[in-house]
Amino acid sequence: MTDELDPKLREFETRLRRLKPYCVSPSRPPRDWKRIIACTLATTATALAIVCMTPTSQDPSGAPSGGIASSKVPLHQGLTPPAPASTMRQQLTRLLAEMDVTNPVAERKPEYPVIEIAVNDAPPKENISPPFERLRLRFDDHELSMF
Amino acid sequence: MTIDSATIRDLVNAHGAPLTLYARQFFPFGNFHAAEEVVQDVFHRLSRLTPPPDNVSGWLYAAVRNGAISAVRSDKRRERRETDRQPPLFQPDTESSFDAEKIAMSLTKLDREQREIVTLRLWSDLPFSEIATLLDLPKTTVFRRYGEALETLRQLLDEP
Repeated sequence: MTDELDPKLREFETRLRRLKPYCVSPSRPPRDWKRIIACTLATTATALAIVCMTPTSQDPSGAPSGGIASSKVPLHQGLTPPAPASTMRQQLTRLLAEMDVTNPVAERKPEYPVIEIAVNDAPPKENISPPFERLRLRFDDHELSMF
Repeated sequence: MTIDSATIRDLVNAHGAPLTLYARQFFPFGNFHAAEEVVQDVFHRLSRLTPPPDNVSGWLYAAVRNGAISAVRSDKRRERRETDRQPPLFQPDTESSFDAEKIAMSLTKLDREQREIVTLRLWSDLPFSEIATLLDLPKTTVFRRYGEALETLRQLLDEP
């Protein structure tokens, strides 16, 4: 059908196609990657918020500072009624151990070295506020560990 | 049976950028963060879908379209907040003389339906038949509107 286009438009079309849609820089873990983790976790968790701790300009080491949250991804799917936080933590620990989450990180120099997953057994709509039971994941060069 | 995380990751890598570009056509000023959120939600839903859709690509585009329309309706305030710091629609173009920013600006002069058609055809590489299904329009209408949109863009960009 494109063949039916005016030749000038066809040439214009070809040139436009060379543009590539913007995508998140591969130098940092993309939000979709965080979401994929969240997806897997959310299959058993009641409510999660994932907070990406951003390094600040004063902190060239890239370590998290000041608890700056660049994004929160609250998820409200899960068990009904909510499971206690301790149960969630156990489930998360098991799930994280089972998940292949190191590969995407190993290929990148993460700009955001820490992702914090906050688990809350409060009713879903209130899970933005503390208290959270926190699991913090640190991305070292090739390792993902909880602390 | 759901789609495993590795396949989801491959799908994100293959479709993430064009889907986000498509979703941005629904938001004034191409709001990247709102569009990205829509796309992520769609992948999230896909990962939980049992059974997975037969035509994953078609499902993704339809879900993003519905999600973006719904997000625009329900979240105007966030949209306004996030319009100040937007990444570009396109990666800087190194292969042609086109000014990517100028093209992004010209796209905003099209109506939404034209932007959808142009984006889906040029940067998602969907056939006209799939675009027609997605937009619930006759294929001939899609093709005609595509040609009109290209012509408008050509004029806006002062192309010979």
